[in-house]
Amino acid sequence: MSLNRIDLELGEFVSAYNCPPPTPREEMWEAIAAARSPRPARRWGWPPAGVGMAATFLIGMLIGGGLPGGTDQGVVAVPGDATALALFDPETARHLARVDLLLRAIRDDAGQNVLASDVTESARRLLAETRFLVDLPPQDQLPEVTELLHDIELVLAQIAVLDGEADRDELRLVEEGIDAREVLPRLHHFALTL
Amino acid sequence: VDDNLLVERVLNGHQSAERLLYDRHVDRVFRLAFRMCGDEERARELTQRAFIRVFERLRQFRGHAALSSWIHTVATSVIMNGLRSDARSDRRNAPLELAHKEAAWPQLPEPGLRERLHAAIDTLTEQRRTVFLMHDLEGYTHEEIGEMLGIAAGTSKAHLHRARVALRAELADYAEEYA
Repeated sequence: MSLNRIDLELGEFVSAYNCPPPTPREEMWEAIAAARSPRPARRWGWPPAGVGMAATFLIGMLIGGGLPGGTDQGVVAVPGDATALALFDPETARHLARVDLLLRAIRDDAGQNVLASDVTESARRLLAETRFLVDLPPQDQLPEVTELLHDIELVLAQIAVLDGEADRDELRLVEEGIDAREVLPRLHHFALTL
Repeated sequence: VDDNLLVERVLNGHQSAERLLYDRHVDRVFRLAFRMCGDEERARELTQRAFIRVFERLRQFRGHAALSSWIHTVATSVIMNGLRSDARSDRRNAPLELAHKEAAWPQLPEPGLRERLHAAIDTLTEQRRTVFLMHDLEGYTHEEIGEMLGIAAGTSKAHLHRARVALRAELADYAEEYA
């Protein structure tokens, strides 16, 4: 009796057993938040496409320098002195490094009009971490870092709503979002400083 | 983000921290729940209940084990208890269960081995099936399984071995057709 051939098929068939669908994370999160709190649940879900477009619009305004608080063209906000840098949390540094990698990958994808399949999922994970870091008490974070994290949050929120079928226009908008607030140069500066 | 900081922030009521904790672990918990029950609605309920329990009991986390191990131990307990409750209910409604199973097993493109394999997995004892699904399908180590199920890693290995033997025995006559 030969079980070898069976063994080959077993691996494939076993993995098909109760094969899980994509995790319905937003629906479950809303149910969990509702069950745990009598107050209305603060929605931490990923923004619907309309909100993503609003973020794009806001970034677009910032490109044109139309809102206060945008950096001057060609000028990058950076941490100023060594004392301040000593406060720079290593967890935040690692997070910024991961964001840097993702955004550079997206820039490459945008140049080729494709989007890697795991980019959106990575953006969603990084968005949750970014929001966590944004929420830290002000004394635990450099103001420049907090400002950068806010900008990263906007950009990641835009990416998190993309699906695998993102077209060229959507990718271009993402790319503009990355460029608009000079996120990559600022990330690069942090990496060099550290 | 460091687990200790994350726990501290969750305990202080920061929803961004709760969300981050949830995001980090929900996929694995949901996948296991679905593997165990094979029903999306039920897997959702069990996953939700698991995270509600995690947040309720997070103050009991002492940091002796990794946060991920602790979360998955709590989640596994919720899932197993939920499925045991389902099984009790199913026994009371045996004819309904049969109809449900037939409905949930549509004609598959490869008749024979796959259906028989899946049916054989369903008939494993609870412990063997759980260890088999966790180890062979979801990639948990025996050490993780042992911690989550409250058994020794060696016992987990033994359960897995017996599960595989049982599956082979169930399919042995099928193999003869290939001989």
